[in-house]
Amino acid sequence: MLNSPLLEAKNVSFSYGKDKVLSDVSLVVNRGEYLSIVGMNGSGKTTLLSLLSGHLRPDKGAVFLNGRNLNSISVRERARQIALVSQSRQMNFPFTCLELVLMGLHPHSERFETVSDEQLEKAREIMESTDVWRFADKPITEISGGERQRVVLSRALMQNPSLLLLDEAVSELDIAAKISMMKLLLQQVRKTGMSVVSIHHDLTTVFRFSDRVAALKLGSLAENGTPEKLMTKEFFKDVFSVDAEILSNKGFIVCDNI
Amino acid sequence: MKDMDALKKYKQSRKKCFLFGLALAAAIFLLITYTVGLGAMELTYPDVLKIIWGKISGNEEVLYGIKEGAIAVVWKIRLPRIICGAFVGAGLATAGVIFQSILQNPLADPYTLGISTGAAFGASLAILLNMMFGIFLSVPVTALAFSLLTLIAVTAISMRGGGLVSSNLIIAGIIVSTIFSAGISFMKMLAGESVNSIVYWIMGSLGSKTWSDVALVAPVVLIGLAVSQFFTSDLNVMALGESDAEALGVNTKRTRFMYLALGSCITAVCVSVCGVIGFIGLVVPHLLRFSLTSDNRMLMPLSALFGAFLLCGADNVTRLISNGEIPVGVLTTLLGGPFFIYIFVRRKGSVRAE
Repeated sequence: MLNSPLLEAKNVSFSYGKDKVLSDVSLVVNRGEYLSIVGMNGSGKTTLLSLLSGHLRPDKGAVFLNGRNLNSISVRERARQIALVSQSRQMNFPFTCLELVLMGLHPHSERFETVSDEQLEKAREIMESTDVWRFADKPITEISGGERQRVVLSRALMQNPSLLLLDEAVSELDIAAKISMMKLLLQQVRKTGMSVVSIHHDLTTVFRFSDRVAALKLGSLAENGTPEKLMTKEFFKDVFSVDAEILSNKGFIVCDNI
Repeated sequence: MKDMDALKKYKQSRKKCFLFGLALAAAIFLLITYTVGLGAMELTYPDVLKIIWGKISGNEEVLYGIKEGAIAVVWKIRLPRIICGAFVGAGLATAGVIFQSILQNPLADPYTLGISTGAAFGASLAILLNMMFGIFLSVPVTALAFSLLTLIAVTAISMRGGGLVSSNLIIAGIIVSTIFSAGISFMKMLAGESVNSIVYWIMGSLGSKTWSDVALVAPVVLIGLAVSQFFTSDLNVMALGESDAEALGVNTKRTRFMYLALGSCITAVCVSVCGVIGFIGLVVPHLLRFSLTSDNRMLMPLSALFGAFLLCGADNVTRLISNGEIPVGVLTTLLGGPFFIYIFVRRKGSVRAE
């Protein structure tokens, strides 16, 4: 199965009650690629990510991880391969940032197993790379939103997944932090062969850092390709209903004549 | 150098928790053995130890020279009450940790889901029926039955209302306990002049507890603690919310249901035996979380020990200072109330800072 894609969604559909959110979406995630998912609010991006993570089960179709149906894989085994950074900002308990990052080890460790020195060292390494080591012993409840996002990302890296799913995981970072975080993620992708599927609203980030872009429109996959090829005038009009001016290979300017 | 600090601190905090646990265990032992000699009939510490040892080992020879009456007071009256207090304190604090974690709400406590109100309803009903018809319905057993009924009602309502998630459970708990409260008021009215025994039961007291009460509470608390402790790493992850916990490999539905059942059974037994003793379940986990750790692997056993220590201590205050006139439930609530305000104000502050 070496040449099979890491993850493959085949004709998945999903409804919340009578609300059809996704219909007949097929998407392949290759090894070692950074795939961005874009689309307007309510286009089904988060639902798609929940299906890819196995948190939700598709009504129709199926998701395959290394050729195996995601439904047939236990929660724990899934967590050893897929990490998720959700939009949840829930944090009511004063765990320290280090404790939170160490929770990334949960799917890999046995009950009552204590954290080894190597694992602590690894946590330090990751937290230094995401620039959160400075406040490793601070309670997670007492840091800012952007800092928290970086801590949660560190936890996901600690989980050492082959697939990392991100739901607007860098949305609250300042521009400098965002660039260095994206570079770090890409470096991981290139170095370890990890794949990333990430929902972004910031199209500049998408343009600069993705290997591939998938666009959702009203619950269907509208476009799918490399950012340079995909992000054209028509793309902006079709997916986001805005006019844009394309600066060849440099980016784009979105017009405000909505 | 700053690098070393966080790792060192992490290891040190583990050590600190362990030492604190040992200290608490020793303190509980000393508290129990020391205070059991205090009261209207004072005994020396060696005599107390002799009585306890003699009774436990069955070696009656060491009791030689100690008055029959003293032995009876220590072994039949004081010790079961104190030990019962220790188990109830441990149980309520453990249940507090459980409910706060699964409801993802640091302001939750063992009574949030109305289990205590259900128990109080059952107890009131038993007291009233016993009075009206001259029968001998067991108050703790009826209380236990109604608290378990409450648990079933609350889970059924919240499942119908969209699943066993925090908000549904809390709302269902409020609904059910409001209905039971009205029922209790009605029974108080029916009880007329004998309303006192209902009121007194609800206030929560460890007075006149016997070994049979200990036999009811101890196994449930001990088994509950052991099982709870086994899954504490899952409970840690549960605090991150449903989807994150699942992404870290926890079967959230199963874990939540199991802890819900465990916490409820522990609470139900404690309340059935001693009435509604407030704030131990709220304050103990909170205090430890803010001063030591949020890690449930350590928080859970430490809370059990600290809860046992606190309730034993509080009960001794009521027993020795007010001669048992103030029910211990009133004392813990009197002290716990202001602490609750402190938590609330502090929490609001941290929310605003975001």
